[in-house]
Amino acid sequence: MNDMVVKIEDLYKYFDGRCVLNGVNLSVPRGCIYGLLGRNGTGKTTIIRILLGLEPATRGATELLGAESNRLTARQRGKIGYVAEGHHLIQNYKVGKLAQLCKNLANQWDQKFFDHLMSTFRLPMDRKIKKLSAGMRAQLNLALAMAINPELLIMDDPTLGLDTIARRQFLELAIDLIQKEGRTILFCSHILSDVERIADRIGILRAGKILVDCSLEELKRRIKKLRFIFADKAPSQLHLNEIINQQSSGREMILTVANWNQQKQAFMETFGPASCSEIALSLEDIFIEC
Amino acid sequence: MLLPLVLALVVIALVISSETFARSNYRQLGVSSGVVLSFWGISGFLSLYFAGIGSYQSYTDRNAKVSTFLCTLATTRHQIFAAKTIAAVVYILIVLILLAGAYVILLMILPSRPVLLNPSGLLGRMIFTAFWAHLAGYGLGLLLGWNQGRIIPTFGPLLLSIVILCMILIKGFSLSAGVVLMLAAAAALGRAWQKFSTMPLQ
Repeated sequence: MNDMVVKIEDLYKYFDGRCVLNGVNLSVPRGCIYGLLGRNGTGKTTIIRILLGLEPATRGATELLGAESNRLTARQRGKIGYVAEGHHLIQNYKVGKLAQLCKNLANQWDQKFFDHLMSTFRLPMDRKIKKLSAGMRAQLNLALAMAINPELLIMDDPTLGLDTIARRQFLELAIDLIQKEGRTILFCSHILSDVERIADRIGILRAGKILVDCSLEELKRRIKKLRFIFADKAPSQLHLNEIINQQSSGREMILTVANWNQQKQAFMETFGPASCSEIALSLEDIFIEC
Repeated sequence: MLLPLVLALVVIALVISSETFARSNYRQLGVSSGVVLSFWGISGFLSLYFAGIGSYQSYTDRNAKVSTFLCTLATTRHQIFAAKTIAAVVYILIVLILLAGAYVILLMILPSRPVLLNPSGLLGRMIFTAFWAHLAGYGLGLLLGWNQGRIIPTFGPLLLSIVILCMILIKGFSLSAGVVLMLAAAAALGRAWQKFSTMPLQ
């Protein structure tokens, strides 16, 4: 059985001749919280929009829950919750009316859970969407997406506009959801501490390609930042593979390298460093280094 | 709200047509000419109205991202488009049924009722032609509304209504006019459906 909930193969997207996605390959297994990272304009939102069938791909194949993105049936769509960047809800509707619309269209609707979320977020049912703050719209969007009990939850920068407490509540909700068997989350965020807290697999998108696709632990294990102190001047050039970043200043050299292993360590020892120490890297540090 | 509007339209049209009928050249043609003329005027207004509805729907949909939101729920684009079209058809039918009813009731008062209600089915042909004219207006309005600017979505329906009215004026309320308008409606709705199914939803 194919247990990949999200599958992207060789995906290309051009906007007016400009290449935004340049052969993206990505798979998200069932039960995974996948954090997709990348700087502004690297194509994260485009990937999500293509996955949901809102945007056609120039080339390549995308699948959600085993079905082609542009051929998703209403029933399959009903298993997917989506929290959009900017939270585009129907602005002229009142909260209660929008909730009723979503309820009527949903395959399944957990009213008790929805009411619980509404009271947790303190959202007024009788206010128009356009009168809600950005944070309240984000919370409402999340509540609507969660109430359908989604098999797959896709979130595009969901915590944007939320205050610290609401962000914490949101992350706890996401963790609650994933604890239900077989649930999967794909999300992108600029708040890397959030990603680090909940994601168990990371993808880093750069220049239209997936640069890194592995578990968070593996990423931290693979990428090392090392400080070398040499007796004399630090060597200016190193012929070492997979160097991400190198800074030399006097006797000190700071080296960020991927796939650090014994061979690379042996190579560095040939320069006779007086000391070598590892600098702890957070996900944010890794993201900046990459 | 719709019924008083339709009744008001019919009364205005009948008043205008009776004035027209009072002129000697129309008197020779009989009272049915006045009826046809008034119905032609109402059809023109309603074609413009439905083209405006279609245009407004597409324009606001694109700007308010309604379909984008709906597509993220348990619905498909085909269902959204089908729902829009069915709602438009039902709306047009309600308006035409009210219009036909109002015509029949008001013309019962006139001495010329046998002319209108004769077996040749003048009212039926008028309703048939008007239905397809309004649906074609709606479909073309849907297409116009997707334009980026404001000028085409705003003034396009007016131009379309004039074209539709001219066609009815030339062909008359006849089966052939109805068939031509039916084809126009099918082509407009088909193209609108194809466009809506494949376009990026921002």
